[in-house]
Amino acid sequence: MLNPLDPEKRKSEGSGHGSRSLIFPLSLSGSGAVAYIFLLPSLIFLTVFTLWPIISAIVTSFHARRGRNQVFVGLQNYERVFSDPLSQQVIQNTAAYVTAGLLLSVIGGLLLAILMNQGLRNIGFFRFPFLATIGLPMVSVASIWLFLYSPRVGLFNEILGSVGLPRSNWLSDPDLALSGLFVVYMWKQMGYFALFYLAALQSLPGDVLEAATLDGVTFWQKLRHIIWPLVSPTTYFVSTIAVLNSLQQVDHVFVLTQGGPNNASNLALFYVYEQGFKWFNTGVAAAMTVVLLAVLLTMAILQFVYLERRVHYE
Amino acid sequence: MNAQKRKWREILPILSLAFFGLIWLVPLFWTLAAAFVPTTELLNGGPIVWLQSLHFGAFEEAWGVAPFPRFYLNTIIWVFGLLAIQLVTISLAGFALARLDFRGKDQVFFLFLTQLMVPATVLILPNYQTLVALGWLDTYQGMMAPYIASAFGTFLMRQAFKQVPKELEEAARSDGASWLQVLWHVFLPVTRAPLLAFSIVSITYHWNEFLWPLLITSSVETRPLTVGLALLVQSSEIGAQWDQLSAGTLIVAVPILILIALVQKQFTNSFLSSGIK
Repeated sequence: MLNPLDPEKRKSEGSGHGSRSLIFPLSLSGSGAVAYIFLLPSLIFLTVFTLWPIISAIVTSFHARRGRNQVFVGLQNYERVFSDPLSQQVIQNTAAYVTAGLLLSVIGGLLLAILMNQGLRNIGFFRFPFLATIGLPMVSVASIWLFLYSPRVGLFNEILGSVGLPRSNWLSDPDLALSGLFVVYMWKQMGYFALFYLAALQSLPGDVLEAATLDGVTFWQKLRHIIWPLVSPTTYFVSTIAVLNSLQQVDHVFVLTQGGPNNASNLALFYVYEQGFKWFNTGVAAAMTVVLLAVLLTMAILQFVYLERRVHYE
Repeated sequence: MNAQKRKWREILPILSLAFFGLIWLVPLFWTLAAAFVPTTELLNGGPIVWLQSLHFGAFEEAWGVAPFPRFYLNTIIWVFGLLAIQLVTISLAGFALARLDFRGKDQVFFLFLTQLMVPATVLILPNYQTLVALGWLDTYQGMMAPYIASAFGTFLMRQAFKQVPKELEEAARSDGASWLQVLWHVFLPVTRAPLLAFSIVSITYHWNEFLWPLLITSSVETRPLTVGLALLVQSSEIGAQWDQLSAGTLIVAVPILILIALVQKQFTNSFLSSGIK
């Protein structure tokens, strides 16, 4: 698995050249020049489309448009992001969405992986449904579910109706809209998280699990005392990508609810889109972008600390 | 423990997997049915009625309502054009990081790490402003720009290049080969697997991408399939031509489904290696 944050690896690479100079001099002879020529295309695009937008978002977040000009407004945009009822609701929605995403990705992903980890020859056939959804475009997935959720002709209401239960207005019900989006997201991504657990389970020594089965241990005991501790590094990894993943979900909001009804299903990234591209409040949109960046940075630091600790104590 | 109990222990997980698998497939089956069976028959009839009323009209209609052939072309140009550029940038950068000694390596490494931490989706607003400044709105290069440098791909290639034995490189160097020739003739031929893994992830990711192309493109000549589908959904939501929409959904999704079915194992491994993205 790709693990570029591994501090041990970085240290061994850093020695040798890093000690010679801490500043950034271009050595124009030997392999140094070749290295920078090879790196040039990547460095240009990283600078313009990764580094610069971070700086630009921070700068923009302290400005607002007055007529044709951008004027400095201090922390006003941030005050709005944290005190405005709409953005507060957006933050709450996003927090709920990300938390639920984290829990279900870990629990659902692990259970699904245990099911997928059967020593059956044609198991690939049984795994296909969960893999297929990962690769589908979210826009297609959302269109599929738009039909399922449709109040008049949707499958869910057909099923409810046929057993005599009241029909529901899934996506236009403020209590259900956000959950409706979440179900769509999980249907698409559950298999993705299961894949990581599946890889972890398959790298466990087979006899550990076999022995537990033969001793008449219940499934729950086996899960709690054997599997769960053994896959804990994967759980950490899955948690990180689950948070990153659910923070970035926006396509289904666009197709299914447009953040409605009454912003009940509005999420942070959709808010950035609305503020920035619909209402042209670039300052507010930039402030929310910076908040998202802060969350991502915190997660990166947490991950770095975790990996550092593992290297030290293992 | 008796034999019957043990048998259950073996069968039960397989049965539950099959059960969940079937449930998981219901939305896909339903869409498939909805594309080929008129909505009234779909809701009121059973399987026999469905088979009797199979038709392909919805595909023709969807194909006619939105310029899907053009959207297909746009998606293919932007996805495969981007991939071609990425394969060059990640090979060159991955090689420099794996095999060349140069000053400032730590700083360069950190710049790549930043991209792993901050996904481009979060940066739509400032990147849009950059495209405005560059005059790249509504162009293919505008859609591609944030992804041309790929930290994921670069690290993947760096990892792969590190495994290549030093002797191979030295032999080629002492024969007077340039670094570019070494990369081309020695390293790339033995790192086809990671290149393929990266290609699968890149194709899937960008074939499916929506918000960024939606913001950047404004004409039929540049819009990809996903944007075309979303606009079709929005324009017809009230009149709800469900068979047309389902057909449109399939038009967009089928190539990716076929790709997954063909290379299921490779697909699985590629996505495992994608991890943080």
